[in-house]
Amino acid sequence: MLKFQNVSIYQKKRKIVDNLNLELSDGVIFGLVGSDEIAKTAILRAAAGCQAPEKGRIFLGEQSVYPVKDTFLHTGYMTKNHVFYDQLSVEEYYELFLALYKVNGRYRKRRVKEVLNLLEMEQFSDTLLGEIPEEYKPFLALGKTILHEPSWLLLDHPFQELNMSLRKRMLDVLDMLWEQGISLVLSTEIFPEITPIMENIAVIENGQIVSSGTIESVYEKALRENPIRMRILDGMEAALQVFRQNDLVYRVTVDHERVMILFSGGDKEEAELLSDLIKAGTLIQNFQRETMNLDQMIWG
Amino acid sequence: MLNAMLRVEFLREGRSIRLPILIIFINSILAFMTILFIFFNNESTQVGYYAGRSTFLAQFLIISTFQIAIIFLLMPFFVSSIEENEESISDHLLMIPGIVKYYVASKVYISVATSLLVFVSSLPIISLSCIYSGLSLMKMVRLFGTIFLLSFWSSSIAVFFYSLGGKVFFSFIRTIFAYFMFSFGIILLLEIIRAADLSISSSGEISAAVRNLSMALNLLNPLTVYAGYYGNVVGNTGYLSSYFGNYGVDVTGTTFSFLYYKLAAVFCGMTGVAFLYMSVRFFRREK
Repeated sequence: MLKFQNVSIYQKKRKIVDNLNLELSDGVIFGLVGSDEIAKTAILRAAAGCQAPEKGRIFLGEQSVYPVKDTFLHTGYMTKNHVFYDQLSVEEYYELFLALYKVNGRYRKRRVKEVLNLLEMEQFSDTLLGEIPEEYKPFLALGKTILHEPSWLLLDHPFQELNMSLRKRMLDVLDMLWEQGISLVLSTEIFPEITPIMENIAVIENGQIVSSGTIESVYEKALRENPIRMRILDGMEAALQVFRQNDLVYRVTVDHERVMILFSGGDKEEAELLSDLIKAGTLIQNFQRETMNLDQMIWG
Repeated sequence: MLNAMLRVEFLREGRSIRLPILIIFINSILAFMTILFIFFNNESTQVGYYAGRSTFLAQFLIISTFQIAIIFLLMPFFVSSIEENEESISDHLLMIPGIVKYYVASKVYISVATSLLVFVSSLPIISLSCIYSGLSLMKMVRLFGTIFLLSFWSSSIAVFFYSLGGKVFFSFIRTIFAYFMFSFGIILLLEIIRAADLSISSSGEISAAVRNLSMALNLLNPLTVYAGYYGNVVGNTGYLSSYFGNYGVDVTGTTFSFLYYKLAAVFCGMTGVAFLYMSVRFFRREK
């Protein structure tokens, strides 16, 4: 279990994560989405043990992550900007991190081989990092992250810089790791291929979780917060009367024929509202939910 | 862990084009200076002048001073190049407790090792100057010690400012500023204090407090270490004698010349250690 308890994180005196409460059970694939990239990275860094939160606590299982003791052995953190020593070969680079994780010398070479095999990148074993194509570097970074066999993977934008086919390959690798029992927390954008494997997401905006749950529920909830726009060609008074009588309408803005309402109902309620407006004798054109803000929220 | 870090640093440095270029560049300058000296000495001997040892002594001093100066000039560049593209490595280092000290140590180690490697590569040139000067080989050992000490001092300071994080350019500027403040900054500050003290003194003498302060602050000055080396080669305490003379310090005693410069060397090493400690303590604090 990875648990954030009233976590607030500051950077240069600016609050970037505000009172975060989140509990993730073992074996999840959890997505951090939203446009607040700084907050998402800070959350992952804090969970990895890189930056202690100024307020609140983070637990990995029963153990508090701070002060850092040995929880780092159970988490693997893939940074957004991949760190690579250009003059080292892949094997040398991996061996460095295995040494830092105090992995026994004899086992290192075998583990490096296993990881490269998993990533299908054995051919790059002796290649200098500077000579490896950019699109393969996220895979190498992932390999470095799983070297010490952590039970939690914290991945900051693992699909960045990947084309469609490599994105699919990355998803396959992540799926494989998840099947091995590794829990995954990803800071990522949402794209069609990821939705089948991602169970739950949290939308982070201004350092706070503004919405969380399954992708569908978050989408629906976000959709409800978007305004409905319409053009009323005739019967404005009757339309306003209908809005007043409907409890789900909580704000109405009128600009000549153009009307914008904030409506907290779902699809069915929306259809009923349209039906009521027509029954009241209004002449309506272009009745629809705005989707732009929703895209911004999910895709970041 | 230090071994793993050092191995990486050695592999990186060994595979980089930087080191051979550095060695070729510095040795070319040293060789050019030596050839120039030999040429002019030969010329002056041919026209009947006495080939004095002092000319060669100046040659050794100039070449060794150049080698020392190059440490201060190149260290910020060198450290910035080994810290290049490593902004995000802090995330990995901070994750694993106790690892930062090995990282910092490996950076200082490789910086000092490179300085010493440059010195070793220039041994044929510097030993030629030493032999022509009629100096004992112990002076070269002394030069080696001075270069080692000043390399350690300058690399510790540079690594400290790069360890703080932030933009590489600002770290570079801070390093240069720190070098300046520790060397000429101390001298300037003391000169201001001395002038102020003299202006308020009725007797026209410098007060004991200012004298002691000048001696204390100059213990932190790397130029004092250089002055110690200079004095050892030339046989007198060099420019620092007249400098301290201005502060009313008796520089003729052997206690001063023997102990003060040794003490300055110890302080130089301690300053380096202090900066190393701070590098670990404040690692990537800016983030």
